[in-house]
Parts: sequence; structure tokens; C-alpha cells
Amino acid sequence: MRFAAQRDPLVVAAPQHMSTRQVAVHLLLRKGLFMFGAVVITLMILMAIFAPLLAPYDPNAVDMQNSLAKPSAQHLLGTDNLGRDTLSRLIYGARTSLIVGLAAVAAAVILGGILGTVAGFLGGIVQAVIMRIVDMLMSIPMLLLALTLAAVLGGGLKNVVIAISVSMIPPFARLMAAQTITIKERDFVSAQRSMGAPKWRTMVGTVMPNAYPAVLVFGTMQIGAAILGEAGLSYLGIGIQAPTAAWGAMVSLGFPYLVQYPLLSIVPGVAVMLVVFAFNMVGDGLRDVLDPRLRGTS
Amino acid sequence: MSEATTGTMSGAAAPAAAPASRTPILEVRDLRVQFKTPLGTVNAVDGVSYELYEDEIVAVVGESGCGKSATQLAVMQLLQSPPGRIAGGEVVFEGQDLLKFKKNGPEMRKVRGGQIAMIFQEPINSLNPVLTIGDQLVEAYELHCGLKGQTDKQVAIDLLKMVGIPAAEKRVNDYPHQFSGGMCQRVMIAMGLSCSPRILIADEPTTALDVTTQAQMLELMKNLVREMHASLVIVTHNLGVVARYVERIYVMYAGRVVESGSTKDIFGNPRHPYTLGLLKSVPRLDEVQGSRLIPIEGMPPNLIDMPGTCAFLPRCPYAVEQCRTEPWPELTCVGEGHCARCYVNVEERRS
Repeated sequence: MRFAAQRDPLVVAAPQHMSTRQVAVHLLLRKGLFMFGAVVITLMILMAIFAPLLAPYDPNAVDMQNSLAKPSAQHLLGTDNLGRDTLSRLIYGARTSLIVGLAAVAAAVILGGILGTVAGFLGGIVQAVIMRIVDMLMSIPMLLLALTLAAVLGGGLKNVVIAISVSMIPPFARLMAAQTITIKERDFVSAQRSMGAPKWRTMVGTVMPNAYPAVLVFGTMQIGAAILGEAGLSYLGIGIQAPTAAWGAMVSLGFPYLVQYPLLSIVPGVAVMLVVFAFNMVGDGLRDVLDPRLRGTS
Repeated sequence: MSEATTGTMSGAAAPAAAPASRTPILEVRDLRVQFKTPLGTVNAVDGVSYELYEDEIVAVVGESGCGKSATQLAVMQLLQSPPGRIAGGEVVFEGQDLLKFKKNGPEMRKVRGGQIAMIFQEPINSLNPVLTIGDQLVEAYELHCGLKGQTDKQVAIDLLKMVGIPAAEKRVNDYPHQFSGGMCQRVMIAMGLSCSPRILIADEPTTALDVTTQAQMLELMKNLVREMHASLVIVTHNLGVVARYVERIYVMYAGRVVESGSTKDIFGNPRHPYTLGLLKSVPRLDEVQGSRLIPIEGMPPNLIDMPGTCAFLPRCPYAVEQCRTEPWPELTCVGEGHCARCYVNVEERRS
């Protein structure tokens, strides 16, 4: 009898569960490419934080006697045309890339997210106006837009971030608008409305949390794109200004010596490639875990 | 179920106090709802009037597409518009016409969830999947009552206990997908009643649930509503399910009320052929073994071009010549609080 009393059907329904987060982490650890990406990104973050400790030389110390030196015990990755240690510049360059990537994407997520949510949720004329402006911006290639902005604003870290984030707002706004339009048709949105919740509350409290998986996945991939964008701008000479170490600028610097001494361009180029690839793999992995339809496959 | 939900159940509905002696808390007068479609305007609700008295439980019954949900959504001003539109009428709640309020204005928002709460058909879809039960449970409370020094968690736990969810302290942190359909509906009921509204509108609250849970849910709603002295409107297509819980019934067909009366009148002395059809299509315990349920033949009419005559005419087994030549009759009362929209005295014709 006591046993029967314990087996209340409602209590049994309470699962001895792993939390949703634990399940997600568990799934992610099983993905090789995700782990590879995660390790690369972690190393890069550590490298950026501890740059002064890790770099064997001052990245800006010129040593003309020793320019274009081949890799050696003193200079593991050689030196550039001004005799600066390539490894040290690479380590410091990670800072620039990371700051640009994270800051630009964060700004684009916030601005694009707000624009997209408002447009998608309110619909009608508001949506038409916002989305047409976004479409206009989108019709300009991202790099070209960033290039124009950087040219107008001038170089420097802050302006590069502004240029790249502005050029990234349109895709985030469209993603968010599309997400919002599907989410606002769901029953829990009308249920919330029936409780007398004002619109802004539904937008912030209900629409945004439901759209977050898609934004997280896309955002992670866009960090790679932003780093690439910064490298592109720096390569074209309107990004990060010398002598600050930046990977794109380093590739560009090696250009005149491409035949004579290709390593100068290859080293930062490979770094950019590796990091962009890593962010894409992490984004892919997150998508697989966050999209329940793909869970368990591949 | 636990004693909490069986406590005040007393068989039949509360004594049928003559409704006229009570004051109506909600009066809907000549409400019209239209939906604009590419094929034409659908008159989903076409001049519906009804009253709801204090402490009363009322059912609105009818087939799919007869305008029962649209009526309730219009009362709450929750119609999706476009394409929906309230084309006329009044919804008087505590002396104020709710339709005069702006759809999303602060007055209407105060009514929604604060004074009139609504729960929907699909409890699982009505909960936000990315928030914990506790987080969303307190939303209405926070919006309308404000947290008076309590933590939102404590409020949520109390609410879960109120609707009989065991281990409430633990379950507040769960997500909706960890709850069963019945438990989700309990959460919705708790949410709806969290701020002691005057009226709870339950739009097909049991349709998505299995039969054993349906009775529990109605019982729970009935008991809680009684405790809070609120009124309850149950919208359903299943006359059988609500019979023992409600005091009065409105039967709707093609966007109009075709019969209204006390539960006793509707079941014992139905005056409209449609009501009769609904009753015959519900299984009864006192039926002769082996007898078949009788479905209502045909389909509800297309609401875009309605005939001027009675909308039930094509499906009506009792139709007389008058039905074919004269317009749909008005709702005429045949007894104390018992009205029907029919020329034929079904009672006489049956015998």
C-alpha cells in the first residue's frame, strides 16, 4: 500500500534528467571538428591575453641588420623586412583579430537583432521601411561597404570595428526578422498577449530567447568572417595602421617578397585561415546540437 | 486524483439560481466579427449576445468553425487582425464597453490577464519552450499584481501547488517539455488564475488532452473558480464533457446563438434541432445497449454567402415550409431563461 502511494503518476513523470545544458555539452564533446575548432579558438584567446608573456621579442622592435632572416633558434618563424620577429607579431596580431572579430559581431548582433525583432514583430509599414533599408545595405558587397566606411572614417582599430559591424548588420537583421516572424505566430505568444503583456515584453522576453540558437550559430560563423574582413582591410592598407601588428597587414607586408621569401605572407595567412576555419567548425557544431532535428545524426 | 481536486464536487452543477436575480458581470451584445479572405468576407460571429453572471459557469458549445472561439477572442480583443475585425457590438464588462478600449492600450492590457484571463487549446504550445515553468508562471502575476515583497520563485511554487502539481519546489525549474500535456494545462490554469481574475475563459481546454485528464482539468478549474468567486466560460464542442460542470449553455451555429438555457433545459428539453443533433451524437449511459450514435448529416454552411433562411435548414430533419420561405427566426424565449432560434416546436414534432 505504501508502495502504491509512492507511485503517484505525476511524480513518476518527473525525469531523473540531465539538464539540457549537460546534454548539449555531452553531444559537443563527441564532435571531432568542433573540438578542433574549440581548441584553436581557446589557444588563440590565451595567446591574445598572454601576448606579452608569450612573445619572445617586442613585436615592434626593428633590427635592420637581421631583416628577412630565415627561421632559426633565435627567431622561430624568421623576421620581416624590418627585422621584426614574425612569431611575436603573430602573437600580438591575435589580439587585434580577436578584438575586431568579437566587437564587430557583438555590435552587429545587438543592432541587427533589435532592428530585425522590431521589424518582424510589428510588421506592416515598420517592417517595410526597416527591411528595405537593410536590403539596400545588403546589395552592397560586405567588403566593399566596409572598405568605403573605413576609407571615410579613416583607419585604426575603432573605425575598422565600426566599418565591419555596420556591414554585418543586414544579415543579422534579416535572420532575426525571419526568426521573429515564425516565433510570433506560435501559441505562446498569443498566450502571453492574453495575459496582458505589452509588446516590448514579448519581444525581449519571448521572441529573443527563442531566436537565440540561430543567432548564436550564425554569430559564431560571422566572427570568422569579421576576422577575415579585418585582414582584408588591413591587407588593402586601410585597416589597422602600422606598426600595430595585424595578420592582414602582415600578409600584405610580405607581398613584395613573395617569390624571394614566401614565409612572410604564408605564416599570417595560415593563421587567418586556421582561425576562420575554427570559428566555422564551432558554429557548425553548435548548430548540430541546438537544432533538435539534426541531433543524433552524423 | 488527490483530495484537493475532489473536495467541493457535489454531483450536479450548483443550484440554478434564477440568473435574472444576479447581476451580469459580462454582457456581450450583438457582437459581430468578420474575417476578410480573398474569397469574400466571412461573418464568423454574426450578432451574438450573451451574459455571464457572477460566480457562474457557462459553456459555449458548437461545431468547429461556428464562431465560438472567435467570439471569445473578440471579447479579449485578441483577434488576429488582419484578417479578423470586430465589425460591431458591445462587450460590457463591469459597466465598461471593452471594445471602446484600444486593442493594445494600457486599459485593455489591464483587463487581459488581470480581470479576464484566457487559456487555450494546446497547453504545450502555449508555454514558451526556452523559459522555465517558474519564470513564465509568474508573468501575469508580476504584470497585474506586482511582487509584493515575495520572490517570484515563491509565487510560482505556490501557484503550482494550487493546481496540484507535486514536488512543486523542484518542478518550477523544469522546462515545458519536461511536463506532460495535463500538467502544462495545469500550469496554464495557474497562470490564468494567478491574479484572481473575475472571469476565466477556457477555449477548448480539454480538447488536446486524453479523456482521463479532461475530467480532472474541468474539476480543477471548477473548484478554483468557485474558491475565487470568478466566472468561467468553457468553450467546447463536446456537450457531454461539460454537462456536469456548467450551469448554463449557449449553443452556437454558423456564427449565431441558436439556443441558450440552463443545463437542465438544454439536456432535458432541447428546442433547437441542432442542439438535439449534438445531444444525439454524444454517447449516454442510459442508452439502450447496441443503439447507434446519430451523427448530424452534412456540413456547416459556408459563412461567406449565407442564405437568408435558417443556416441549419439543409441539415435539419424537422424543417417545415415556413423555414424555407421566411428568414432565420430571432432568438425567442420558450421558457424561463430558455431561448431558441427555431419556428418548429421540436418537442411536439418528436413525439
